[in-house]
Amino acid sequence: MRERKLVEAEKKNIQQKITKWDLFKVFFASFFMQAVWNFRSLISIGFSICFLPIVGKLCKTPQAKREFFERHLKFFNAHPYFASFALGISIRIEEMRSKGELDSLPNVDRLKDLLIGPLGAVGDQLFWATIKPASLLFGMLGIILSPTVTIKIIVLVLTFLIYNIPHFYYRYEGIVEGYHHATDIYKYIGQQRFEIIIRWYSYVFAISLFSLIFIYSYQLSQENPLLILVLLIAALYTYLLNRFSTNFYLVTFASFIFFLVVGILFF
Amino acid sequence: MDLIFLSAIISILSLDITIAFQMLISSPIFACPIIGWILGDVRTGFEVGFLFQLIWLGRIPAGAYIVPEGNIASMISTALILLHKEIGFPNTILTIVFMEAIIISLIGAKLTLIYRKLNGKILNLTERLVRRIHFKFLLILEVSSMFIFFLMIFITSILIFQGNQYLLPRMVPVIGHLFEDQFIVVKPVILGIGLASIFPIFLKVMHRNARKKIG
Repeated sequence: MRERKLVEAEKKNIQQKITKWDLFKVFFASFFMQAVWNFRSLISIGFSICFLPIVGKLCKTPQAKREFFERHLKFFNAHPYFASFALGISIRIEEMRSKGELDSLPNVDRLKDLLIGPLGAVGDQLFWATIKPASLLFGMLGIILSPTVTIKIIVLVLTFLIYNIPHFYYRYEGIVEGYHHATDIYKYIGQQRFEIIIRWYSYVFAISLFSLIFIYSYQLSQENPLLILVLLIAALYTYLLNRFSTNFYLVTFASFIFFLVVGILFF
Repeated sequence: MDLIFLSAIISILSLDITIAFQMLISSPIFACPIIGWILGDVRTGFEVGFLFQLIWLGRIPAGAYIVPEGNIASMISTALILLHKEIGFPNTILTIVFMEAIIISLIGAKLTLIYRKLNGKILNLTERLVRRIHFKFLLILEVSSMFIFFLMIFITSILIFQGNQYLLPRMVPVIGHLFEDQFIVVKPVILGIGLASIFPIFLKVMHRNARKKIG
């Protein structure tokens, strides 16, 4: 009877282990996830170090901690912001392991392997290909339109918020959702969930890009109308060169030198 | 301005690219005005950041792909332009510095490659520490790795600044006397190259949206 009470008390103790504050500490550590990026295990060291604030709660003995880190130091990669979903899932599974719920325990390695593709694809599409260029183009447009340095600084603050609000949200929410829905996370990381945000940021992308070209062209026309032609031809020429070669350095140099010669000959 | 202090600031801001935070602070439109503010000319910082922002934006760091280190190149370029602005010939300085920026972005990419290979050694060390149950040192290893990157960028920046203290005062007046007026094309050309870099991403995003709507 006494033993049973002790086991129940221990179980209750474990159940209350991971708090919101713990998840927040992991969230903070996740900002350094790519710190030790390497070609053999990619982001796994940074990923493992994210667990340092809570590993004491998940593993009681040094041996258990050793096995824990050995499991998570294996190959892993994902978009740095979306890797937080994998963090949350791993915390939940490790917690289940520590509670002794071995029957329903999913294989953490296999689950992480399965997440590499979706987390990378969604993150790259959402952040690198949409939110980042849209935010930066918005910032550039604001800078070109602002007459004073003070307004330019305000524009930079806005740009920072436009980019980092979704950044912080998915970084934190990923940990929380991964933790609460470890076994059915696929319902939460499908492309369709991010359709609305992608659509709105792509509008910002398009409006900022074309407004920027229009306003910059107008400014150039005040200086020398021929410069508008230089801007548009340089863009078109480099775009075509990019189709022939993927070597960034070669294309940029070739294009730049070509237009320097054009400038020397015709201006 | 003390070049050591300036290089330290550039190295700290460079950590934001991939190693810590990734909050966009290292992007040219943020980092160049910061460098400009340190060197007493925020307006030029904004202008250089604006011109250089799009050049490197088209390269997406997906998977293990190492992109040209344009952010570091932009910060060093802003510093070079401001440190040597008293020479005059602003278009010529921008022309030379932009060409240097392309080379610096290549050097930066090579440094990233070396850094990631070095991190392989840190992984071996981490695995050894875990086997020996020395978990306290894991954080020290992470910080050491970050410090290695900081040091690499710091030394590179110092070398580039020192080299340009010799190079720019000799080159700019000679080329500037010949072509300063012709180099008026440089600003629109840099922005044009940037637009060409961003345009494929724009087309992809729009194409995807259109396909979803039809679907």
